[in-house]
Amino acid sequence: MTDIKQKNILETRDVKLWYGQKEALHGINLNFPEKGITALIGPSGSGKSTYIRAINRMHDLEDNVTVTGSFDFKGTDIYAPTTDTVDLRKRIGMVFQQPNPFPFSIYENVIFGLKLAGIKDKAVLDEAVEKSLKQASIWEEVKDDLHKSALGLSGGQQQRVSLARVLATSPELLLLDEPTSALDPVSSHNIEETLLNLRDDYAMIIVTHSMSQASRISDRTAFFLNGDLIEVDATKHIFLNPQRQETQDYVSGRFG
Amino acid sequence: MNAKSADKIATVVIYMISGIVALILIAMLAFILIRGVPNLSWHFLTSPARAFEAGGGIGIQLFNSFYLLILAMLISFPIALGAAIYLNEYSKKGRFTTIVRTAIEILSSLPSVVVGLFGFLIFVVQFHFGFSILSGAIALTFFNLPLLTRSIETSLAQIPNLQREAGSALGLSRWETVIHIILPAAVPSIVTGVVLSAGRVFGEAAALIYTAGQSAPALNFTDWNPFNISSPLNPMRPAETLAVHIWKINSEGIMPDANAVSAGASAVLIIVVLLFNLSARKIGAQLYKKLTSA
Repeated sequence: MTDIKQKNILETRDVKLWYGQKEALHGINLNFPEKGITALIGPSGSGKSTYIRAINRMHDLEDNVTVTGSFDFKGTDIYAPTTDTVDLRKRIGMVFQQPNPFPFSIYENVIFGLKLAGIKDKAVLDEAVEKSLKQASIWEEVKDDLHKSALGLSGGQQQRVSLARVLATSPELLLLDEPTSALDPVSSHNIEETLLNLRDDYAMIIVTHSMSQASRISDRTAFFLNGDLIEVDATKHIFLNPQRQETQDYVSGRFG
Repeated sequence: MNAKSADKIATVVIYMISGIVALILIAMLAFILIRGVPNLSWHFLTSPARAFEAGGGIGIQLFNSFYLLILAMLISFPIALGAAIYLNEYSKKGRFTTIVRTAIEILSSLPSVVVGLFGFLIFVVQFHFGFSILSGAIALTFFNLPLLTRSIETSLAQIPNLQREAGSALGLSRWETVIHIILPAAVPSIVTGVVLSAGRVFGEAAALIYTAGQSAPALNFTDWNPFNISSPLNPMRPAETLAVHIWKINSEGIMPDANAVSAGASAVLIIVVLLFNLSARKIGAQLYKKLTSA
């Protein structure tokens, strides 16, 4: 299924996850190449968000969640007791459904991770801010307002600042959990453009409810249903020529 | 009766009830201020009280009130902050958390006179602190702690979970998230809560009668060495506060102008408390503006 020539940045085997007694993921095997965008699609409750949040151990914040299976992130066992979640999350960045800038200035938001890492040199920080905001395609819109509150921006701008904040810490893998579903079409389009510009430099996994979005921006698509991975393939195969009947039904809009 | 006229009647009744609440407050304020304000003067605010003759002031009581307030806040704020952070950010459902919450609830419903008597038995008598600012500040801490904890906890709970997720997704530990994101975001609302509780503490009398005492020895306002007995800063001296002073004048005051002093002191007390209350939200809003847009 996966392109053998390309190395994988993340390989997951037999991933199961329980909320209390309820099994929400029934053994997912899924690999992600070092570059490009993989879209996770499927109806609500199919487990795609649950799965992506297992990758950077966001479930650790909740009580009562059990995760089993193997997650091999460039040789790091994500769930090994010795793995430091703080360090892990610096390497695996995440953008959420709701834009979530901190209630500080745009500048402070972007340098947040760097400042915590102990970088104080103003020149380095300035440069990182410009670079990250450019990568997130929002530099032109905010370059004169860097010291104004990020909360004063529109939702779409806030989301790109959130993205810039993650990019500033140079993650190796980007997780995007429905990053445009709370945004208007124009802002969604801007985010999509941004992601397309980043696809050559980053490995990205995006959860999306929009099949047209998946078909526009992703290289590979994985279809989730009821906690199972039904099918994963190059995006055009999934949409034009899926192997499984469930996939065919979903992408043609017969359910979901 | 149809739904429409029932709605009309209900609306009128609710308006009237709210009106009555506002009216009670206005009537009380007006009564206290009209009686008290004419007695206010710089002399009244700054000179010591007199026990037997007219013309005494409330200077020392006023100073004591503020000094006690500051000390009580210095003690209770860090504890309340820690407890609130634990309860809102760290605690999981379990026996320990239940015990802490129940303790806070019970502590907050203890009558302040009971807190005062407890402080008297433990700190004044057992620990030999005597009637002192220190005993009073600790009693005030007991009185203030549950309310302040609750208010800070509410401030923290208002910060959306998105912020915590964003923090940990950026690789912040839970503590770093609290220190660098949650607390700064909550500062305006925490400050509002602190100032409001300061107003409550400032007006508290019952908890202080048996702890900080009912006498206001003369102070030497040129001596700021806290180890000297006549220094205003000495925490071991007895210190009658404004609220206690009002209570005392009205129960056993024998100066000829007792009524005037009581009215004036009440007016000062209510004005200070009002200032705390009115400024609380303003300070919070200003801080929020300042913190969120550098």
